[in-house]
Amino acid sequence: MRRAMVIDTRRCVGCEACVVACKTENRVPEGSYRDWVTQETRGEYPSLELILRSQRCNHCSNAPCVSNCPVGASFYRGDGTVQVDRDLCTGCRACLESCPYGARYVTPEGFVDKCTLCVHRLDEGKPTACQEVCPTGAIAVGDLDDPTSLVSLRLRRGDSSVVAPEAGTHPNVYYVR
Amino acid sequence: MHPHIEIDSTRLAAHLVAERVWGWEVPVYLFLGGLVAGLMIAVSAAILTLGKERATKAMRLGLLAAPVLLSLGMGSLFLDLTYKLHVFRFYTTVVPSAPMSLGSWVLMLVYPVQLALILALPHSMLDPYLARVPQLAAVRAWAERNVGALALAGLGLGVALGIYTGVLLSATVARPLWSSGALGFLFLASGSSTGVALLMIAERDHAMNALFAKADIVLITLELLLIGSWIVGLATQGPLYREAATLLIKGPYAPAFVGVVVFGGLLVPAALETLSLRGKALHSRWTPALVLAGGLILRFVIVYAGQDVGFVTG
Ligand code: SF4
Ligand code: SF4
Repeated sequence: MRRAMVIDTRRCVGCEACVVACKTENRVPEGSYRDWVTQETRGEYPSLELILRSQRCNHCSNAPCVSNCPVGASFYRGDGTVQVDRDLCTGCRACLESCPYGARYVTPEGFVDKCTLCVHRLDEGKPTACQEVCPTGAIAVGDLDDPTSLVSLRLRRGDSSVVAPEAGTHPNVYYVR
Repeated sequence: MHPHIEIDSTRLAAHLVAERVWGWEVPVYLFLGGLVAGLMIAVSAAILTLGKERATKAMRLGLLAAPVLLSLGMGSLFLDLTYKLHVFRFYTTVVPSAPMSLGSWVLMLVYPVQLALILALPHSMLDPYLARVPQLAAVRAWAERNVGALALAGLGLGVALGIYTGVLLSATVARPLWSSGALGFLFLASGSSTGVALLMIAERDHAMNALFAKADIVLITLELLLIGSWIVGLATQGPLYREAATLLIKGPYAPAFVGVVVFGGLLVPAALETLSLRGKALHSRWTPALVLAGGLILRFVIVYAGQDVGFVTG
């Protein structure tokens, strides 16, 4: 199984419901975010283009947060996601320094946390909290190994991109337009 | 950033982007680690090339200082951990891909070699204490017999420790400023130079001081070359890397980097050491003190500036 997220930026209206849903579902501490919405404006007036992206940990296939974690607390779960084992984490923050997307934060208790791709929900057959609440259906989560999954279908449309591919991390959160 | 792209985000609105992750503890740790690496390299090299009989009082003192300085450095890293209870986790696993894991194990190997070297070349002030622990006599005899092998181990571990302090930064992918293989060697050269500088402050033997000064000039020259290759490498790697390098050359860190580190911590001491070797200036303890201060500021500048430029802005 290769879990991935494919976000249709043409559907996204930037309502930030995903941000609120994630904060509630995962009890994300005040001042920290597991997901956030980026609003990118390109061009010059009057010819402007607006791209909205709901962003989070990219569950990278070549994750520097995993390779640089000195205790193995950051790990590949084997389903395409990257997770943090809080029972191992020392709070050295080598992973925060290694993540090109700033996807991680330190909890008030001192360990590191980030988007889990809501695997606790996916494992029960439920959608992620952000996917469930998105009013326009911009967010799709599924298995890339399954050619009939919504993520595979969306990616087959072509014209997909990832954030900062130049960082070489091979993200598994894709954006289609 | 591209002039025609504007970014706004949830996190920017909450002022969460560009927060510094690592504070003063990390540069202090990297400085002390490099200094200890330098002490081990300098003393081990002196034993191997000149023989243990030529080991001076300053070198013996340097050996004694090494584990203390290393412990201070590790203490600083401990302060940096936000989940301190789990510090023991560093020693329940080895993660070959993580420099911080390999470095923690190198640190554990460094201590016994340092202690064995101290026993092989004890400082006179230690003698009365050593005599009181007869069990140590056998260890001491063993260390004295194997001083060559111990110096070789000290040299190897010193080099590993020195390189590690730089690779710790360059292995992180997210910081363009640190993204250079030159950093490991730069920190090794700088650590060696600060180790030699600390010995020069304590050294009374004129001939040995001259030897240290010569070694330091070579190390400073190497450092300047490595800084050059690092900066030129970044400047030719792409816009983001150029932006990172610019921070040091003409950005907010330029006074500290160009003024304090390159000028005050490398060029001025190298010039003063050259003049004193030619008999045109008196040997002063201020010269090695400049090298030490430059080494400390170098690490602060690199760690802080490195966190100011990243791949995403929103
Ligand atoms: S986005 Fe960051 S935290 Fe998530 S897997 Fe990639 S490098 Fe790690
Ligand atoms: S903060 Fe925790 S998860 Fe991150 S690198 Fe350190 S030990 Fe690993």
